[in-house]
Amino acid sequence: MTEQNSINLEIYKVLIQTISDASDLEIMAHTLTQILVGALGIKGAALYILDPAREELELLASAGLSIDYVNKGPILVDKSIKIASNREPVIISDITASDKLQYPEKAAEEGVRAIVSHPIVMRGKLIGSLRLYNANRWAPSNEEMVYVEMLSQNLGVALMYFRVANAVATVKETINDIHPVWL
Amino acid sequence: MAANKILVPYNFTANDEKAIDLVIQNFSQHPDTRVTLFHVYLPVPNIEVSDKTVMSRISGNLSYLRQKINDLEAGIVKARDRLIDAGFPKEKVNYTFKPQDRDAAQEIIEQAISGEFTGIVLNRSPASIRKFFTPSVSKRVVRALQHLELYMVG
Repeated sequence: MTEQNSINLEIYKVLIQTISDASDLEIMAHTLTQILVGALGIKGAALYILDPAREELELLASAGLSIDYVNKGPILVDKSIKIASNREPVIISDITASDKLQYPEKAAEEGVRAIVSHPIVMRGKLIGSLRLYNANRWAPSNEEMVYVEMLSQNLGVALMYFRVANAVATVKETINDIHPVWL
Repeated sequence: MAANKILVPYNFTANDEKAIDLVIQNFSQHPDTRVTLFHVYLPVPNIEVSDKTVMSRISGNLSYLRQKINDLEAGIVKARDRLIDAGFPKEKVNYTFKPQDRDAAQEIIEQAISGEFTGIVLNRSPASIRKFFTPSVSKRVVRALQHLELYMVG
């Protein structure tokens, strides 16, 4: 991974196009994780959204990971990857030499050797997390991390858009349900 | 009286296992009941990049993802076998595992109508943060399939 960047501008363009073309958040998230696995040659990718009330990350979509691994249990924000309340990117190049994981034994069973976690932040607030899982030791280059950062920023905007669009659609549906007799 | 024909949308979560439990509890003693597990998956996308070296690497990696989809199908077979082990006749339990080409709610609604099902087992996660980002699948399905018997777990 360090000899040649696994993400380049052309792949980044494909990723951004997936986000900008999307009309359904779940389809977008699944497609994006699939492209990340395919383009980066990694074991898996997952996209989480933050449930602030429970302080948990909720899985939105994943690719390449087993059902057992994605259902491994609640991912607590502070414990999931225990650094800077998850607001900073975390690179665990080798999980066997790290104590930062919430479920290290599950990662080992899954065949995950390295994890890159990038926060999805909107207006300074954590709203989600993008995680990349590699079966081998992995030290992504600075350039690769810049691409991951830009992708995470775009995901933040997309999540905000879908949040607002869903709220508007719900209001519209509620208004449409009002019988004219009440108006 | 027409035989029960139950559709169980299945997405490999703990609540989906509860849905299987509900079907076992309510229908395993009814030999005429037919059960269909239903899962739609997103097919592996076509990625086109002009760099041939990169394209070749991506093609190899996408094969890995296709294999993962096969693994997913093995999961739904396991769920079907749970029903058979609980007493359902083998010929009365099947599953549909197909690529998704519209949103999940629409896929379920179309399957329920075209398969002439009499009942549907849905699950919901009321505490899920996801409901703020995407329309509720269960709400849309319930609204569209009001003529079906509805069983809800969660």
